[in-house]
Amino acid sequence: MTTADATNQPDAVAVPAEARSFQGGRAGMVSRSVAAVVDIAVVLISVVVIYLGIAGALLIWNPRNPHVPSLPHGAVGTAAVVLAVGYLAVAWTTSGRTVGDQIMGLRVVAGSDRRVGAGRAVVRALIVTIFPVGLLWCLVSARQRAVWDVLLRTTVVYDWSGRAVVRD
Amino acid sequence: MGPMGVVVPVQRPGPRAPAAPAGLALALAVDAGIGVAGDAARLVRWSSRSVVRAASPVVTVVLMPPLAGVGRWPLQRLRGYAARGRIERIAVQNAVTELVLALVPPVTDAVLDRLDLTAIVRERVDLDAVVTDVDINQIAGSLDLDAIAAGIDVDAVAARLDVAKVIDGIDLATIARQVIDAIDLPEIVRESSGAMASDTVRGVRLRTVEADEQVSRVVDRLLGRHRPRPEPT
Repeated sequence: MTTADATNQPDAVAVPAEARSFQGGRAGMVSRSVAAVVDIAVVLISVVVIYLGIAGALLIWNPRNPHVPSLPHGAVGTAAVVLAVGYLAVAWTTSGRTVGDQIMGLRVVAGSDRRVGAGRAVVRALIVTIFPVGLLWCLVSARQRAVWDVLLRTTVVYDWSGRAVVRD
Repeated sequence: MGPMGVVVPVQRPGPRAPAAPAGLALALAVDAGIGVAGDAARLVRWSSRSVVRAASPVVTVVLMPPLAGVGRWPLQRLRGYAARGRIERIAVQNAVTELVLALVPPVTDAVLDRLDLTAIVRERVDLDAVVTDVDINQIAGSLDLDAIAAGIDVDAVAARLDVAKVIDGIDLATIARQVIDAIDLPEIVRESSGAMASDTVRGVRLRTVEADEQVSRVVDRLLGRHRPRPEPT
């Protein structure tokens, strides 16, 4: 195998020819919105699964009194926020991708660095969760930056293979 | 003995007999001779019976003289000769039988050697007719195939098969290579593993990327700015 093959082969398999031109480029509003919707669905489904798990555990714990467990006021919302922040932070720190990013072929990078640090990921996750409308800023931003990207100097790029070189 | 049946029907004289005078005379002579011989034979039989009948008392007296004891009768001596003669005759018969029996096989062999029996059968026997008469279905029906099959030791047959040799004769490597070449395995792996990415997800991703660009273009136009973004082609 030649050197050219060694460098081209993985991307050639993972990224089709028509998509190679924009790998590493900044992702736009539509792709990021779709990824966000997927991530919201992931968080909501996780909340429901956890709630059903708790209900099942209570049923096993006290089978003579089967009932739907009532949760304290605001507990579901708080749980969803905590879950979303944890999920997003862990995803960006480890692979740079959430499930939505994975499906849409996106990756979050910090500046020219490829990996987002844990602290920056947690702060970004908090801002995204509490102020999701901040995504709209990437419409007016010349460099496709959302509010949290401006504050934390992060960037979302097209990266179908996970190895794309970020363009400035 | 009567008139010879062999001659008479063939040479019966009649108005249609076109035989030559010489032939006719010869036939008449033969018939006449036979007729005379027949009459003579009848005469001899009749006369000999008469002689025997007339000589019977004399023979009786000669063979069994009344004055002699029974043990001295010539009849007894005659019986002794007869017994010995009978033994001789049986011995001769046996010897002849043995001789004939001993001669039959070599003679038969010699005869058969001179004959081409196959050719004779082909020439003289209607083999088609013989075969047509044979009821093959009946023969097949009377065959007990189960019993025949039960009598076959399949294990012994299988044990005699040299499977290793058979396998050695098969070029498995070449066959396997041909099969793999024909299947194009890498393409199948690529299609099956990347089916989702290559079809659904790829389409969604490409469409959203296009949408991203269109949205950016519209916004840029609304804001009246030229795109600083480098768009690689």
